[in-house]
Amino acid sequence: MEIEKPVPVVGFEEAYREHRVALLRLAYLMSGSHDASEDAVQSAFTSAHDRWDQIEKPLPYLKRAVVNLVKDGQRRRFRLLATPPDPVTVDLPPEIDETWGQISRLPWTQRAVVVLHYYEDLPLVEVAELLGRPAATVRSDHRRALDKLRRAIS
Amino acid sequence: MNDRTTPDSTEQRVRQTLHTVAHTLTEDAFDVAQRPATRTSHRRRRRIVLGVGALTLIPATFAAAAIVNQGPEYVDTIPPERIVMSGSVDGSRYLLIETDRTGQCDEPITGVELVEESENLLGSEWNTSGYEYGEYVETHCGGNLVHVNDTARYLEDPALFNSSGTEVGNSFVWVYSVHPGVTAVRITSGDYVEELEVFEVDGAGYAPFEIPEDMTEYTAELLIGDQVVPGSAEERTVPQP
Repeated sequence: MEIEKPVPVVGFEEAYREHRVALLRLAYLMSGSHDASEDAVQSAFTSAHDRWDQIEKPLPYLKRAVVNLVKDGQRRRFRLLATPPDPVTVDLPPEIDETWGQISRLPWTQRAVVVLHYYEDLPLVEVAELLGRPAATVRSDHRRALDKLRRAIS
Repeated sequence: MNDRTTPDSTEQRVRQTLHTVAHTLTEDAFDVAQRPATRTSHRRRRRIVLGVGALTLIPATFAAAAIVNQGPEYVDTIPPERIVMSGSVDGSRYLLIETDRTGQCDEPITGVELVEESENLLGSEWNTSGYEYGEYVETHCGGNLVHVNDTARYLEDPALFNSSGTEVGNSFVWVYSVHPGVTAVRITSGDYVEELEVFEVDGAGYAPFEIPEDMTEYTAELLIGDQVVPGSAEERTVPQP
């Protein structure tokens, strides 16, 4: 008789310990806000908790949730336009600091494409799927973002 | 050749920057306080409308705002120093900001733009209404006949002003563009009396009026101190959204 083996599942607490900082970093790169990052990651874990046993691949699930939560948070951020982005708490080399400043000034969708493509190493077609935008639009976002960055840091 | 500007080097630099910044973020950089978070979705708009200041003679009559397509340029953060004031109508928030646009001859456009939150979400395209003090005059620019804003005649007569509005929420925000000497705009409608604050931008005054939803008509008068500017009274029927 063949016995059905259970899908190996990483425990919730283990996943929290293992992935929380990585998710916070992803959220911060996209939002520029420590508070928004914490909110997004906390909410992602909270929403995942109740269905944890049904989630086969926790990290991709959590990343998708964080991206969506940051995206929604950016829509609300209009209310905080007068609030400058949180500074990075350590000194960065001038070249890195300059480039980070330029990335931070990109419109949100372009910034998200840049982060997901160059930090998460996702192909643009997967970035499009994750952001819920047409692939052609994301390719355009990517090209515009790179053009801006190239001009700004030249 | 500057190697930093080649596509590969730019991409490499972006990748290196993101990883470097990410690794500066440790657990300590974040507040570990556990708190619930809820999110609200808003609809997005994908069009660009810049209403150029509606220019009228005194007393101002309804003036249709001109529409100019610009873009695509996507909503990014607005520098705090450009924000003149903020308000809300029926929960729909808006900002009045100093405009930073340029005209047909690359001349800086003066005045303000009204930016409604729900129409200008981050990542969407700009959709704002612009208001400028003065009147359009014809001039030549690069061999073409163009219209540029001129304040000379307006500055000689404090009774001259422009007014136009934008639908916000279930009502309107009406913006009065007035002489720099005007200190307030008085609104009266039956027992209703309100004196609008005037914000100075680019040497003129701008006074937004959040029209109450149940108001059908009102009278606006310009004030300098306690005195009504002669000839400035305007009766207006409120448009229906």
